[in-house]
Amino acid sequence: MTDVEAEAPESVGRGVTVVRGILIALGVALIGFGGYTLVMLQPRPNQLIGVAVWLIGAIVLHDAILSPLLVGIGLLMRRAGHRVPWTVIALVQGAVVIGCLFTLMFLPEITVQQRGPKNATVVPLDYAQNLVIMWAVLAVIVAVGSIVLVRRTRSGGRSHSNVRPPRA
Amino acid sequence: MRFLLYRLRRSIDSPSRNPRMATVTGRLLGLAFLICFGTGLYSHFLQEPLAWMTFTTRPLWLYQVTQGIHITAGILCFPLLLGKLYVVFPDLFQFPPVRSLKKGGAVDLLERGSIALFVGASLVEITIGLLNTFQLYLWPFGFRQVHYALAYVIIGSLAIHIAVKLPIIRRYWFKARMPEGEPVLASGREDAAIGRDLADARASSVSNDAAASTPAAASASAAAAAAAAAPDSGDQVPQKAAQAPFAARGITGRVFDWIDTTPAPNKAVSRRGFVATLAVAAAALVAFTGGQSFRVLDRLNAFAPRKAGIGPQSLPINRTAAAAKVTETAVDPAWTLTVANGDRSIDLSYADLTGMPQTSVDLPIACVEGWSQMASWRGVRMSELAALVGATSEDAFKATSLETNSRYGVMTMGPEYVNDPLTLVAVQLNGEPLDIDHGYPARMIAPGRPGVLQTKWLSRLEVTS
Repeated sequence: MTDVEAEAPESVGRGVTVVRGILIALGVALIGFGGYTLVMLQPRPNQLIGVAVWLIGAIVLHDAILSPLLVGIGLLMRRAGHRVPWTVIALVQGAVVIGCLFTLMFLPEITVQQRGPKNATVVPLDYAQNLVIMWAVLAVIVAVGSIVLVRRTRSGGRSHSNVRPPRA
Repeated sequence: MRFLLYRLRRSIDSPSRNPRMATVTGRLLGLAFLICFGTGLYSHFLQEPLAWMTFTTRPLWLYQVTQGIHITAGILCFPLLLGKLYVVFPDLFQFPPVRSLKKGGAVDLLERGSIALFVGASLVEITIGLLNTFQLYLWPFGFRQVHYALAYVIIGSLAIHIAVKLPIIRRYWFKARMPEGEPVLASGREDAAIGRDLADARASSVSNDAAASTPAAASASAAAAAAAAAPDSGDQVPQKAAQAPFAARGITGRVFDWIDTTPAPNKAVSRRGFVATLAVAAAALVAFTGGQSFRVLDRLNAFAPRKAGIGPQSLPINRTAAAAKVTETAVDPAWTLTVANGDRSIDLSYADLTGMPQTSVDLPIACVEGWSQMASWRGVRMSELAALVGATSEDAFKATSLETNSRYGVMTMGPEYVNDPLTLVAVQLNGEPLDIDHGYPARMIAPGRPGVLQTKWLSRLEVTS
């Protein structure tokens, strides 16, 4: 513990203090310039309010909705840990996260298609179909992977399982 | 409250949430941000150069690659930023939220404020960037201006964030320095003391209930210390032991009790799962969207907003003739291209232009939105048109389009582009006269410039003083 406290922020070496000072000065200057640029380029009140609403909205959306949701899902999945090997849970979690990420990022393209894009070369692909295929492929990977992982666990092979192999 | 926050942090604890992982994801994200910032500034100044600026026209693919990297790295920021936020999530519940000024509270206040700004600006920046490539505008402000201004705010907050976290970053930069059995919350300073703090919090909570005896507090503190020091194996037992002295009381008590009876995840699997998920997500995003910018990935392009080969004359477009309101003026037989230098001026008809010596070049159209595609162009060298009106090699030109309702209707071109033998006033694309959506009767095509500066439907070229 003494080693940790020796490196705690309150008692850092001089080199670190100098680098910190430079970084903080640079940071404050850049933020100031960014703010100035924003006000110069978007001077109308409704524009500035719009930026503020988006900034606060992003934090609220992430901290108050997305993160607690993830924690809850994570806990629910951990409860399955009584019966299912951890490797399988990790595989399912990974697949769900990737599927959700792609859905969140590319769903707006389907919105644009429904609204009608500005011209036919914008969002020209069948994104809905591609998302369905993506989820289907993820499901197959999870199914096949789980079978393999469960079998490996049962056969008592090297694994990080929490589930004990059944007694013979 | 303090106890509740500690318990909350402990409950959402996960093996991926440690300072080493925060450092690893943080430096990847920091790198992605710096790449986006650099390529973004390059694109910005190509479009709005400062007076002293001059640009290189070689390599021909320069802008195509820098902007392709800008957009692809921006897309990669989604998994990296969400992953990084996942890793540091428990720090949201640090107590007290801001320490008193004496104990480094000024740094705390700066840290928390800059983090809120950093997170908010980063999320907004990548979201509006992505939606801009889909041409979906859901906000009351100008995309270009806000995207540009927020970039400085983000890099500034990044500098402050690195300054605040410097000791942790230094400590966990190399894997070897990550001690086994280290307590796992992501904020390094509190980590060392978390077990002790938790025990203190428990002890005080127990004594507040007036039911505490010294041995109980001591056993709690010992148990918590054991939990904090728990090695990789057998992670479930010590944690349970730590909770034992406390009965489930009230709603929060019951919720935490329920969480505590949930098996703790296997650390190695959980960590590897996190890293693997991040890696696979990043690889899949590049593979399935990179095709709009990098032709080798074209066959895998399943989610990008543009697809190579789709468009009039097999080339995508950003602004149609109809949108630019030039469908009549562009096909007017009386159309001429005026080339002017002060009092000297000549009008070239379409026949005059196509009657001049023609040059063929292969140059990419590379859009600010990240997509790009190579094409074959044929037309008159810009330098030859400049010579017709006696322009010198020092002269810059202003090009005016028939389109009048766009900020890109007038474009300025520095002498480095005017003199380049590859810069054409093109009349043909891929062996045919230009499609009206590609700028018929004549358009500019120059090496290394964003598509918005490859002015279509030209009507006037004039030396600027």
